[in-house]
Amino acid sequence: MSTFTYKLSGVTHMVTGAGGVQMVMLVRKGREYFTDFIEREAKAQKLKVVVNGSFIDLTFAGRVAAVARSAPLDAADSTPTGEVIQQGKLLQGPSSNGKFNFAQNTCGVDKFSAGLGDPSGAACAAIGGIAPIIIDNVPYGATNSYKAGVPAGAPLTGDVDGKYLPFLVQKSNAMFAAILARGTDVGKSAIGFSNATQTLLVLSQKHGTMGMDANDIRTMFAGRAMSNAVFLDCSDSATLYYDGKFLVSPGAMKNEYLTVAVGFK
Amino acid sequence: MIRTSMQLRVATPLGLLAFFWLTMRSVVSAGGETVNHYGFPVAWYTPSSASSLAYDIAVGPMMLDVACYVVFGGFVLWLAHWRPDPNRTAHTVVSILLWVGALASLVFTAMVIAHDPHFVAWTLDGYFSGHAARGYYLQFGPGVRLQ
Repeated sequence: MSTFTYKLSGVTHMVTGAGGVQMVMLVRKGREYFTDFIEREAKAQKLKVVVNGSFIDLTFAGRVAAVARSAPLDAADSTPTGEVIQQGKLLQGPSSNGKFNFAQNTCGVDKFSAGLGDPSGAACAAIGGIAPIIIDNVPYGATNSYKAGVPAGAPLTGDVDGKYLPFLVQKSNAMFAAILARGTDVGKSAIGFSNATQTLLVLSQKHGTMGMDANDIRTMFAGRAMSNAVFLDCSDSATLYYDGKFLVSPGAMKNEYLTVAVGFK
Repeated sequence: MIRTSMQLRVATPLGLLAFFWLTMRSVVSAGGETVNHYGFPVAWYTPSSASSLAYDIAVGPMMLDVACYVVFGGFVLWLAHWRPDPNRTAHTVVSILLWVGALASLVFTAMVIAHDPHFVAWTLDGYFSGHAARGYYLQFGPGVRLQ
């Protein structure tokens, strides 16, 4: 039976889970607010923790409707920017090869992984199109960082040639850089898993509160020996539902069109 | 002076219409990562990877581009030897229609890129270095998925 504990660190909500945590992908199909959808599904599936998931793209009509009206959009207007997989089936979303994924590989086994590209189609639960924080123990950031002795000419961003790889201590990523550029008050949603301690960590910060920047979030995950950690959709998409109530709610417009959430039990 | 004022009244909305509808998309890519920048002659907005429907908007380049397009609008009028006459109803109607179109285009563009804007002064994206591959394409409108 999995156990979850909650802690508030400044304005950052932290939920840790251990002992057989299971991941469940939730995809809204009807016309309802994102928070109503999460609350209903969390109760139905006995989920202890739910966070927002994929980045979303809207049609032009959807964007107009989101601005002009105060009502939930039809789920068909929203498209996740990465694949959403549940029990080996693709629920929604296109391929997003240049971005990252987070997955529970096998149902019933609390092992989670992350990597570049689309998630495995056979995963128990997986989400693609997201941003890296730590991938297979390699931290990510706005720039490539190297240890002392690296040969001259090592690139600051982008791909790293073989001769520089042994010196690489941090890999650059454009999505991480974009989140870092938004500073300390942009909302954040992040999840990670430690192979060493078999612990899941969920971090959430409400948009508009002065909290941590992306580097600080990475430090928090690294400090807790997280092998893999990823950013989900940030800014006012950040949503955290824990133990029956919303600790972080999305912005009003985001609540109208977000469709993908990640649950844990 | 009256003619200059009328030329501005026509050149400005004409330039704004072109600014909103006829621009350049720069595709910048390196190491499997790709971003699209929009704007001509200087890119002034880009979809942000920080959040859904978020955009980074560079105010300096945006104002520079608007100025360039308005000057271009005046140049087009000069090329066409079009002398706006406030006493001619047709010219006034054209001016009004252009302004309506320009304001509608402003609203349209705002609905696309103003959901979660992040304003910066000048530099749109400092991530990709000069070694990144760049492609340039003509872009009609703000580049949004229609369906």
